[in-house]
Amino acid sequence: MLNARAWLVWIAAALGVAMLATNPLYLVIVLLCAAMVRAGFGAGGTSLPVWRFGVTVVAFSTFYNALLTHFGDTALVTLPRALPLVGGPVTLEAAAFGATRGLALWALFAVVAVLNDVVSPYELVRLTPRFLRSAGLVISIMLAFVPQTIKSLRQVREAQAIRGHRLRGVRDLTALLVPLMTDSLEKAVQLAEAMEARGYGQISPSGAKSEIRNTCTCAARKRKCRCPKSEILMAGGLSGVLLGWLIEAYWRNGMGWAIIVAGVMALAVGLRLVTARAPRTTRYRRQTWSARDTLLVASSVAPLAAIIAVTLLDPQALAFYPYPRVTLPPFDARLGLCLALLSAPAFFNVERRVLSVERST
Amino acid sequence: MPQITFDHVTFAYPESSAPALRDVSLQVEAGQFMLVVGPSGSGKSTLLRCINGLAPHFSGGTLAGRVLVDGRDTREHPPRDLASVVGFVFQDPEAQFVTERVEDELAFALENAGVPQLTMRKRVEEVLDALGIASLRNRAVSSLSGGEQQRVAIAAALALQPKILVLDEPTSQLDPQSAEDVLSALVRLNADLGLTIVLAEHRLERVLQYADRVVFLPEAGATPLAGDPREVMEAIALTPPLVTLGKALGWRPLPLTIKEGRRFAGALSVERGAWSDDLPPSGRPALQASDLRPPVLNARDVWLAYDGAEVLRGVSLAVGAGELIALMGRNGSGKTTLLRTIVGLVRPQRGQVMVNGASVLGQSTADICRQVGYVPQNPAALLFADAVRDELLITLRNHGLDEATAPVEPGELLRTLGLSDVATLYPRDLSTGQRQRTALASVLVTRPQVLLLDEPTRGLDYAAKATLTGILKRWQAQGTAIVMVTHDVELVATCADRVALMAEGEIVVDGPVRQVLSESAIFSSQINKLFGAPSLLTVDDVLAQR
Repeated sequence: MLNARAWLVWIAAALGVAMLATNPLYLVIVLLCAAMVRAGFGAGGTSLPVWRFGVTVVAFSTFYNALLTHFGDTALVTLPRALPLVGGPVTLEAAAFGATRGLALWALFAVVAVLNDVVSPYELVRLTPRFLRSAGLVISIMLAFVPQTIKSLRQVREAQAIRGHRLRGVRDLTALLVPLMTDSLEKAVQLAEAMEARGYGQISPSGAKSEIRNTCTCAARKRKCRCPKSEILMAGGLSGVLLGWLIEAYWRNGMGWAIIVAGVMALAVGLRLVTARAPRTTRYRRQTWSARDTLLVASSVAPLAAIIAVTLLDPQALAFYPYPRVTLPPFDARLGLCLALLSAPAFFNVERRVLSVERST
Repeated sequence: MPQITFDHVTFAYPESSAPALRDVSLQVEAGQFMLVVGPSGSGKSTLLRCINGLAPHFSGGTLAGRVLVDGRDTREHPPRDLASVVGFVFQDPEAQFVTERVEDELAFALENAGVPQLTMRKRVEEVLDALGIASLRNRAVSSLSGGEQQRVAIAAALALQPKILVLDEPTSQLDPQSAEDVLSALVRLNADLGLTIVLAEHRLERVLQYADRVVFLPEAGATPLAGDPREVMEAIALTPPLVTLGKALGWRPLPLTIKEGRRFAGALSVERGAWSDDLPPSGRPALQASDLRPPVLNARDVWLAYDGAEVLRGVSLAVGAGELIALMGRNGSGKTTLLRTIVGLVRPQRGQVMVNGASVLGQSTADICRQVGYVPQNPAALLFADAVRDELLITLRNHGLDEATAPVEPGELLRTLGLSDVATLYPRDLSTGQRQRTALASVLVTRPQVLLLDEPTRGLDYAAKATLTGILKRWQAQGTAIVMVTHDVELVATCADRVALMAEGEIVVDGPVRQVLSESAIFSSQINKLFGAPSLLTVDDVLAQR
């Protein structure tokens, strides 16, 4: 089982590569890597939706660009000039450019699809920092609510059909939406009650200053007003960073950098304060970090670093610009091999963390 | 010192003039198994919610007197503080889960309490074993059966190691087998770990034998009656069949279990006739040959598969006018699917469904439902209008009818169902029984000749059940053909003509109620278990012979 943080590094690196390299050959490498990783994790690297999406996007983008852009030397056909927008030569260059753009989108989509396959959204929610725990919890409850709501929508639709309800117009939707809404609200109140009964938001004996969610009306708990130190620090820090950036942009005298550093420090202190004030909670799941996780991070960071280095040193090597006359995109085998490292997790041969959902009988 | 003390407690919900509890004084000792009974709306839930402070801290409202739990006053301690003393389990298993995976669900309360990770792991293992759910640890809670979900909810409530476990009708949404699993888990926790249990439950016949004390709440705001189970059973009217019979025949000490009852039954001289064709169904004369008209509903050789699994395998079922058939069998045996097939919610691959001699296959559900009324399991999904009466009018309008052209006068129907007093109220504010009847009314207002009911008594108390039985019998007499899917053997014993048992998508037995129930070990009524004779299924059967 790989650590979710390591996966996030992989995703970030793969996304970074896909965004920096406009060269279709490198994009194809990213795409293949993503497909291999999905296949390696039993999620079906050739599963239809991603391919169908990819083919559609590439076709659409090629078609659209070819019709609307009339630059380029290699004309394939010429449409009558009288036609608005599409009139004029349809060039190979415009088509190639459109296809490359479509490919880039496809690559991004494929990488995100990997995220969806290998890490459960609940694992991601668990990565939220302590002071954002409530927000994380809200997201996780929301995730569970979606399938529940779909289930109750089905129930409601059937129940209304039984009563002779037919969906003929927008007004007929009321019969479906009203029960669905009331049902969801009732469930939400029940859940709130259940969470309260299980001690959610209690002041743990070990955590001294955890009063953030104290909504109790008991007089004994009315606290004296707290000075919002952390909020002031964070707001100040953020404005400092912006101000510093503006000053630096206008005067370039180094003064701006000093303000930015001060702002970042204020932000950090503010965040620390918020974290310390958050209720003291613990985590059940151990985050294990194995050698394989390190390997995953290394094999992700290397291609990203390589591509950043190339972007800085020789931007032409990555770019693919077919106008005015289309040529084969440049390809550096060393860089290609380096990018292929992104497929590393496919060979890790680790069991995929599966949430077992088989029906009980 | 008692573990829970109610000291002259009066509680009223906000915006409500009458208190839900009035001057309640009660004491529960540590390690007791206390059963809270009473009709729906009598304040059982409110009483339970006072124990962990959900009333008044969560619900709002005013509380007079005081509730002491393990020495703490609930006025000063909100539920979240009391979570380490009182564990609480709710009625609907699905609505109380916060996370997706069983293990995380158990750890949720511990994480919030800031329990160190090592202690937490130990506690999670302990509760997994205590409830026998270790094999479910990595499952998604949404994939579990109702009984498994409820055991997970109990385990989650126990993770903080409370001394008291409070359960608000935890089995009312479950089938008998799942309910049995949950209840036996509770009995074990009470016996082995000395956990104090306060349980609200309406299936008295299942839990009475385990209770040390029973509290009966007659109605909202009335003084509760508390005491030894036998004492309380003597004093209240609506009791399980066995107790009712025992009271009627003067058996003392009052038997609470079949085993206790057999001693008395053995000494009783009643006719224990074997099965014969001329035994009438309980409560009414047998159908004569002349009554047998061509069936109103006729399903023939119905085959249906979902996702490759065969759910119905050649089912044939014919129901005549005025006949009431009970469809019984395990969960997943295809009972509900058969009803859904009849009303066109699912399409069979093969077979024929005829209503009044004409095929309904291929018609839309809305069209079929003009002739066939179907009340699904969860009546809440059906109701959405602002008032009970409006629900009826909406059904009529859906079918292109109005009050004047309605086959049944809506006001009259509401009166029959005892809903006249609540006709202007919001359906979701009603009790479970009233809601069930509102759902019935909203389906029946088109006067269907065939009525399909799915678990109509789930969550109903004895009084509501008796009302429903009366209504069904009346319609049956008027010629409505009724098919009822149910696990409720006592209901079947009192009102069904025929029983069809389903297993693995097939009807394995289809016969007169007395024959099927007396020949089955599991689907057998309390009185039948006592005497083992087809002529004796209900209390009335026995009393008729005296």
